[in-house]
Parts: sequence; C-alpha cells; structure tokens
Amino acid sequence: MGQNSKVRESSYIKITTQLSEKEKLQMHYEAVSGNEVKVNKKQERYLFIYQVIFVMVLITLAFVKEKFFPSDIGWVQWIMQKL
Amino acid sequence: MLLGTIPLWASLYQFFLIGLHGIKNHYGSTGAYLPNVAIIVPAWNEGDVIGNTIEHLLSMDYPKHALRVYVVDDASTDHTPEVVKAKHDQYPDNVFHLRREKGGQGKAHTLNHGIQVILSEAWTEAILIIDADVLFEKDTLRLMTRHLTDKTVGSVTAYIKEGSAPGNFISKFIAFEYITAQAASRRAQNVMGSLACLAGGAQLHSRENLLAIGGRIDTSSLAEDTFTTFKTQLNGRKAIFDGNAVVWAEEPGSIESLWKQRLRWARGNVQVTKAFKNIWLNKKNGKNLGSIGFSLIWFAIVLMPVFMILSSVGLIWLYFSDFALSWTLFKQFWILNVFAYLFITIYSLIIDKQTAKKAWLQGILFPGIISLTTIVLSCFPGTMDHFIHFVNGMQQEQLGLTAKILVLFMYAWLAICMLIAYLAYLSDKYKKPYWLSLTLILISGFGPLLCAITLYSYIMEYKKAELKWDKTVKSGKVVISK
Repeated sequence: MGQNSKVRESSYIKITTQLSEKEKLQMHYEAVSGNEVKVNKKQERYLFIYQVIFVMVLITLAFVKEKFFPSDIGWVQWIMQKL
Repeated sequence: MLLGTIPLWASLYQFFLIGLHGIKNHYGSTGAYLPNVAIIVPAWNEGDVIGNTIEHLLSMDYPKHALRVYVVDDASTDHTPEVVKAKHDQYPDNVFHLRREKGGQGKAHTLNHGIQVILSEAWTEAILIIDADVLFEKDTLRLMTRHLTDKTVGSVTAYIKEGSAPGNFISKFIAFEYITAQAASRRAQNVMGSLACLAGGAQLHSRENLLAIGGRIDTSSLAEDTFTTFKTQLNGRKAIFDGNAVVWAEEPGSIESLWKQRLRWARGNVQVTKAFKNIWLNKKNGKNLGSIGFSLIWFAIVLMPVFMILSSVGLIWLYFSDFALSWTLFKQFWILNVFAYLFITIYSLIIDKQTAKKAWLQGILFPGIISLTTIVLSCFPGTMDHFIHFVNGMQQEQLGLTAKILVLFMYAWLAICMLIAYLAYLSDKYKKPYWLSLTLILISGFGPLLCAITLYSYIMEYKKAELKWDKTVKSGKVVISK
C-alpha cells in the first residue's frame, strides 16, 4: 500500500500557468458582465410587471369613476353596459 | 379632427411596447467584450470643462490599455489646447490632441477630422463619439461595448440624463422629457428593431460599421447623429439603446437657449425626413425603419404641430356646421387624452425613479395648466355639459355668449398653446422678467413649446435659412447623481 501511494505521488504533476494581466482583467470583466446582464434583465422584466399592474389599476379607477360619475360618451356607456 | 389623435395613438403604442422590452431585449446577446475604444471629443472653447471630461473618461471602469481619448480641437481660441496638451503629458498613451486650424464648420466636420485619423490606425476596434461636456458613469462604456459582442450590431447609444447642478425649472422639464423621449421611447424602438436616433453625446460604433457607412459623418444637415443612425440600420446593422448605460449632460436652462438647440434638432428631423423620403412606409427600402409602426412614430413627432392645428381647425369648422357633433368629438378626444396623460406621465416616472424625484412636478405640468384643467374636467363630462348648458342636438346659436367664447377657446387651444409658448420664448429672448416667460410656459405647457419649435423649423426650412451650428452655452456645472 505504502509503495503504491508513493508511486501515485510521484506521477502527479502539478500544472500552474501564470495568467497575464489582460487575461486576469478579461476574467474579472466576464464575471462582472454576467452579473450586470442578470440585473439588467431583471430590471427590464420589472418594467413589464409594473406596466401590467399599472394598466390594471388605471382601468379599475376608470370603472370606479364611471360607477359614481357616469359619462355621457356613447362608447363608454356601451362598455359599462356590457360589463 | 381624427388626425389630431395620431400623436396620442403613437405615444400609447410606444409606451405599450416598453413593457415588451422586458421580454424582447438585446441583453441575451451580450458578453464581456472590451475592444480598443477611441473616444472622439469634439471641442471648441471647452477649456473650462475639457480637463474634467478627460479625467472622467480615463477613470471609467474599462481597461486603460484599451482606451484612447482624441480631443478634436475645432480651432479653439481659449485655453483648450493648453489643457489638452497638459493631459497628454500626463497620460501620453491615452490622450491625444488633434487640432483643426480652420474651425466653425460644425460638429460633423470636427468629428470627421478625428474619425479620419482614428480609422487610419489599425489599433481602433470601436469609436465612441461624445460631447465635450458630458460625464459618463464608471460602467457606461462597458455596458455599451457589451452589445458589440453581437456582430450584427453596428452602433450603441446610452441614456442621456439631465445633470445640471443645481438645475432650474426649465432643466427639470428637460429631465422629464428625456425619460419619455429616451428611456421610454428608445426602449420601444429596441423592441421594434428600429432606432430613431443615436444620442449625439454618446454613440458607440464598431469600426466595421463606420467604414461601411462611408467612414465619415454626414455634413449636409443639422442632424448628423440621426443620419448616422439611419445609415447604420439601412446598411443592415442594428442600432441598440441601452437604458442602463447612463451619461450625464448639462441641458439648456433658459427657453432661449433651449429654442436654439431644439430648432437645430427639429430642422435636422425635417431634413432627415426629406433625405430618406424613399423609406417611409416601405419595408423594402427602409427595412425596419420603413415599418408602419416606426413611420407612425416618426411622423407623429415631425408633423405634431400640423396634427394639432388640424384638430383645432376641424373642431371649429364642426362648431359652425354641427355643434353637437363637435362637442361630442371634443369630449372623446380629451377622454383619450386623459388616459394617455395618466399612462405616459406615471409610467415615465416609474421608468426612471431617480429623475422622478426631482422632476415629478414638471411631469405633471408638462401639458400646461390649461390642458391639465381640460384633462381633469374631461373626467366629468356631465359637469362640462352643465357649464355650457348643453343638451343633445343643440346648435351653437343656442349657446350663451360666455359659453360660445369658452367653447371656441377650448377648440382652438391646441393651436393657441403653441402661440403662447412662442411668446414665452420671445419674452425670454428680449430679457423680460423671468416670471413672465415661466408663467407663459406653465400656461402653454412644455410639450407645446417643443411643437412651436417644430412649427418654426418648417418655416426656417421653407425659407432655406442658413444652417447654423449654434453652440449651446454651458456652465460646466454637471454632476453625476447616484
């Protein structure tokens, strides 16, 4: 067993390569860029969600307003009758 | 009358598309791409600000070995050459001074001088064109270059934010306007695949793109940035807007200087419309720029004063021929306005919460006090009817004198507001008290001021007035607000 371990140790070659400054920078920026893209995609998705919620709120407010202050506009009355 | 609603439909269409930007955007095709970037800074008598601009550019979070700043000095007569030379001595590998001995021909000529030198060097992989007085946030350039990973992208532009310190009422109007005109509408244009304009103060081009469009900027018009944008896209490359890449700029703080700046832009738009007349509503010639959607948005801006005047004329004509119909149409038009106003204003404030904090009041007052009053009254049509004693089928002869004057005034308002905005400009130009021009703008609205400028640009173009590059006076007091 002991002999086998020695054989394994001696056959193991540790490979280390020094990265250049440019390569280090590239790796750094790749990590940063990946995070930024995630954050930006999330922000844009939020704009979509905000828009959906906001339009729904606006429509709800319009219905509440029509309930208490009905409009005399034909197409508005038609929509209210249908709903 | 119906033509008058076109700008409203165009705005609503654009603002609904913004939501889709959450699904259809270019972020998925980006990567950590850091090309050698040559930054061109056109400068004429920018001695007070150019040193600060160079320092800011070199302090960006971007590898120094891949960054060069070329200041193209347009025969400055102040201390600009000395400041730039001192910066070159300080950063010999990054800052370069290019001098034009004969200047004053305009920004496009100055840029071409720099582009010619830069493209002659194989080092350059991308070119960033900026203004001498803008400030880039640390990550802005990197956020822009990432889009060039996708080789189908030719140009990228950033979100220019108003950054005057401390700023005033007019500059805050511009701050709000930039949310709608850039952060909002350019996102929508990303979705449509057709960008109207790369911001003159922040446009990044791949080397291949600049070479493909002739290696130079158009010098025949006042809208060289829009020409470049159109040529890029007509050449088959994409132009992308990145709303997260932010650049701060000092915008005009007076109506007079705003008028000068916007007149140049508006005339430029008219020139672009004429120069690219074969692309409108023609996808074969114009690719995405020729789509119905993009043409609608473009002409809604370029022809907005015409639509507003036609609206007023249509209503007044109906007032005399069929009053009841005119009143119904008027109320319907303003109900659409109520929805558009609430949707566009509130959603704009949501899109850029930081600007919203300082310019929310200007956002509310953007249409002007009279239009705002009509918007509020339109929510209660019964009250409006009661006020003029309206009953169905009535004729204008049956109206009282006060009601007649009021109704005609409301019908004509869409045209009158531009006249009041013009008076605000005259008041500012002839150095009348500040409160007078401000009051007139609050009454007419900031939007109508921009329409009045567009209308004035038609006249200037018709008269073939000299194409003057009036430099907007800046104080250099621009800050990055985080």
